[in-house]
Amino acid sequence: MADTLLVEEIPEKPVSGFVDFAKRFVRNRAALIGFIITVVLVIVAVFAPVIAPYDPYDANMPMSLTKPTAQHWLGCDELGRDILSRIIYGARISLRVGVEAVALALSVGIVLGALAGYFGGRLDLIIMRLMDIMLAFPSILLAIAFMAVLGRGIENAIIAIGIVSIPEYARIVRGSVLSVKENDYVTAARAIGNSDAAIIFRHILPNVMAPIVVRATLGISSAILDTAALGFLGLGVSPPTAEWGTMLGAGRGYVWDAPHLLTFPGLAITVTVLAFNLMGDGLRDALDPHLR
Amino acid sequence: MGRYILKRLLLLIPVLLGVLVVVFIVLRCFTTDPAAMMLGQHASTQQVEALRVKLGLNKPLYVQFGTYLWQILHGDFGRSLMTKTPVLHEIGIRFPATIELALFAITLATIFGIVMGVVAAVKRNTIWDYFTMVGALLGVSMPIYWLGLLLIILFAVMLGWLPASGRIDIGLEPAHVTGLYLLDSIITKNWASFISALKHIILPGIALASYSTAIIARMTRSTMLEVLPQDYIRTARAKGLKESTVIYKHTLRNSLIPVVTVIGLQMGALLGGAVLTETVFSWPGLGSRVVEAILAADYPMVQGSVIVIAVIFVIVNLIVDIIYSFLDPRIHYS
Repeated sequence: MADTLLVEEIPEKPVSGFVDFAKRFVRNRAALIGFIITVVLVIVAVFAPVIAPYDPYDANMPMSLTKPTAQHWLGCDELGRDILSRIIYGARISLRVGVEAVALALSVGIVLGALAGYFGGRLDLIIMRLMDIMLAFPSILLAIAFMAVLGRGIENAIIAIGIVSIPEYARIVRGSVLSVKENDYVTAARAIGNSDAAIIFRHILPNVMAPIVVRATLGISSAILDTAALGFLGLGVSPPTAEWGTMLGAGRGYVWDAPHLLTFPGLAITVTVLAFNLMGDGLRDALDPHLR
Repeated sequence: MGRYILKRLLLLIPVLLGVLVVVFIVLRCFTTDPAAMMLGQHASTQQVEALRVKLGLNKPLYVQFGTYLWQILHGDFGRSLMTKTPVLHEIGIRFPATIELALFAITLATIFGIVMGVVAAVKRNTIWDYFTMVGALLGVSMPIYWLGLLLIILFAVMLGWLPASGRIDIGLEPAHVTGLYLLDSIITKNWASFISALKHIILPGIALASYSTAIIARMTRSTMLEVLPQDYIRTARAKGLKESTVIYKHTLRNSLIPVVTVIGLQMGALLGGAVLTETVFSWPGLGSRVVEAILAADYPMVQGSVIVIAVIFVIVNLIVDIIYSFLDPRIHYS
């Protein structure tokens, strides 16, 4: 009996951190659904020219404001363009802006947050006061102002949304760096003569990635929402580019005659944002239960 | 406590100065020439140059900044380039509409968010919990302007129950007391105005509140779940208190601190959300005016509104910090 117990207590093989994480993530059904939707969206975006039934820019005035039919599953917009095809192509813009804006915010935010947290003192004060100033504006308002200054376009939307998200990442990274920089392994790394840069990038940052990854995943969903909001206000990508928010903005004038112009692009935004939120929540639970 | 508040108020000064610098730099250095914008495409170079001189746009930037700072510190935000009226006057007219919408939305969000959170926590892992949390997840994932449009389609276009735009029926504006129509109509006992104002604010209020309701519900649920297994809750039950007393007086009260933080942060988010909601519902507030002003390169108006919004945002955060100490006597500020 005692022997059996002993055998049961010792795992056959030590489980690696990643395997353990993957198991916990997959067990979370909501997170898995979010992940599957995201994969499908990426496939749709990559293979848009193959999947889309029509050319998303092909105007066909006789079909203007057509309701959903067997030929046009989601109907046609004010210029007779196929809404389904435009939504499929729109996935490219939303995912691209979402990922690239977060990448921009992350790269600047990580550097600023790590510098502030690691060196402390006056540098910390200056960086964090700058971040406070940026946080004094509602982010969408600041993004709108940047777009007004930079002009419309995908690259500008990425820059505007990326810049306004920097303070969030800088704060998270600073907090995490502060919490680990007094650990023994950091002191040891310093004692054997590592440079500050090596300590920050090789020893500290890899150990504070969990909250950053979680925040970045959730950040993609807010970047997608912001992109669509800019498009809706007429400040996003330039027409006729198929972008979900811009489609909603253009459809606003037809709320009485053709509500389907508004229903489907909004649904596309919601499903995409929902997928990233589910995935972000799942990652948070799998990576760091204390963050709940 | 008094010292803490004073310290926080003093710390506001560098942040607000920074806000002024950021707004100035962003608007003056990178944008198209406002003189050219105002005069349109057909204006001659001489005309544009004359207007630049008149507006002081030909002077060096530091001189422009000095003048701008001096004027703002004296409460002079300039005149709107579009309407030619003083910016502060326009903000005064537009602002009560935004505040009324934001207060209405935060009230809805707080009530529904806390109730949803409590129900989900108390009935954990039941259909109620799943239903509420799926609703909350949708609330954070749905663009508020899209929800606004769906509400218009359903309640204004299809059912015809509620108006799709505006703040009140023309001619029913109550006598001016605070500028908040709902409050003013109650004060002046003008019930026709009250009903009209209420009908107009319901849809934009729900749209604006959706995101915050979801965030508050999620936060309430998770903090309630942390408090419910505590020993003092078991003690409260053991001594025979009614379940409602245990939930509301013992559990909820001790779960409120993080919830209040979130509610405070949501006030700021609502100011940002107001920009979108006001545009969808043609709500005559500051948010929709900022968008118009940005699109028309009306710098004085953008400058003034953005500064006012930022100041309120920062002050709301300070008030939230102070409210904590009332809710939790363990928090002491130094």
